[in-house]
Amino acid sequence: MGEATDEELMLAYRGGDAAAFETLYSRHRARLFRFVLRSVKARALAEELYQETWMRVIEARGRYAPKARFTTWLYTIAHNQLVDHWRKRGLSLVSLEGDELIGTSPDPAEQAQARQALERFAAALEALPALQREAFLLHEEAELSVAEIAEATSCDPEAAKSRLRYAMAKLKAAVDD
Amino acid sequence: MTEERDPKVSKRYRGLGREEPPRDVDERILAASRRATNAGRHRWAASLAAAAVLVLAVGVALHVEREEPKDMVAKVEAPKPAQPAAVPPPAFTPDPKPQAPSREMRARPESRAAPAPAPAPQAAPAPRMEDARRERSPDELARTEAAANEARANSEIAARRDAQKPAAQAGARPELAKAQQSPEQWLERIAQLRREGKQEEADRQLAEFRRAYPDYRYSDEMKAKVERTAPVPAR
Repeated sequence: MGEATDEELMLAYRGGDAAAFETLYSRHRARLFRFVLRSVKARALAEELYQETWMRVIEARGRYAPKARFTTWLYTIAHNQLVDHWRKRGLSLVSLEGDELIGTSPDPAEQAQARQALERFAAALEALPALQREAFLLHEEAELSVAEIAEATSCDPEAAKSRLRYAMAKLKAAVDD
Repeated sequence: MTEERDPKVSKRYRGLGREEPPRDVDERILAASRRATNAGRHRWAASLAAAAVLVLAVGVALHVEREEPKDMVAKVEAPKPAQPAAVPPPAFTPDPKPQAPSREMRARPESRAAPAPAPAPQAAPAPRMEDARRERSPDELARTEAAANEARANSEIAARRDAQKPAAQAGARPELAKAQQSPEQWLERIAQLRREGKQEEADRQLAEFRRAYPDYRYSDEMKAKVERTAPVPAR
C-alpha cells in the first residue's frame, strides 16, 4: 500500500489521529515557511504568520472536506493570513543577505559573480508587485497550477495566469542580465 | 501550469536558500495539534457521559411516573380498609386457592376495583404499597409520603429543565448560533454592522469569522463590504 495522500492524512487528523498531522506537517513545513518568508519582510513576522497559518489549519480541521488538493487549501489559508497582514501594514519582501546567498564555486571571483546574480534575482523578486510575487511563489514554491493559484487567491484563472506571466517575464529578465 | 515554468528562473530561485522554520516553532505547532485532538477526545467523553446521565435521568423519571398511579390508587384505597367486608359476595365463584396476584393484575387498577372475595386472599399477596401503608406507623407514613412527593417534585424539575434546555444552550453558546448560519449570512451581518457604524463589533465579528473560516474565499465586493479599510496590495 502506498503512502497516504495529504487529503487522507488531513481527514485522519480530523478524526483525531495526531500522528497524521505530524506527517502532513513534515511534508509541507519547509515550502510553506519559505512561501511566507519571501512574502513578508521580517523573519520574526514570517515565523508568526507561518505559525498562525498552521494554527488556523488545526482550528479548521473539523470543517475540512477534500474538495480540492490539501495544498490548495493550505495555501488559501496562508494567503488569507498574508492578506490580513497586508491590510494592516502593507507588504515588502524579506531581504536576502549573508548566508542565504552563498555560491557553490570555490573560485572567489565566480562566487562573487554568483552572489551578484542571486542578489539581482532577489531584488527583482522583491520588486515584483505583491500579487505577482505571490503568484510566482505559489507556483514555484508550492507547485500550484494556475487554476489552483486562482482558487487559493480568490481570483479568476485569467488574472492568476496574467500575474504569473508578468512575474516570470520580469524574473527572466533578471536572470538573463 | 508547466508552460509558465522556466528552468533558469527555477534554478535561480532555488539558489536563494532552503530556509526552514525554527525547531521551536515546529514544536509549538505540533503541540497545538496534539492538544486539539486531546481536547476533541475529552469533548467526546464528556458528551458520552452527558448522554449516559440523560438516559439515566429519563429512566428514573419514567420509573417514577410508572410508580405514581399505584401510589395514587394506594391513597384512594387506603381509607377503605373495611370495605371488602361490607360488600356482598361476588356473583362468580372465586378460585378457592389463594394466589398472589400476577404482576399484570397488580398493575391494572380495574383488577383492584373488584372486591376481594374473601379476607384470606388479601393477606396472601406480596406486600403492596397500600398494604404496607396500613402496617406503617404515622411517622413512617409521613416519611414515605414526603419521599414520594420529593420524587415527584424531582421528576417535574427534570422535565422542566429538559424543556428549557434548548433555549438555555442557545443563549449560553452564541457561537453555536453562528455556526448554524452560512458564512455568507455571517458576512452579511458584519456588513450590516459596518453600515450601522458599529465598527468595533464588526471588527470583532470579522476576526471571529476569519478564525472560523480561515480558507474562505472573499469576493472583492464582499471584502469591500466587511472590511473597515481594504487596501489590497497593488498588482
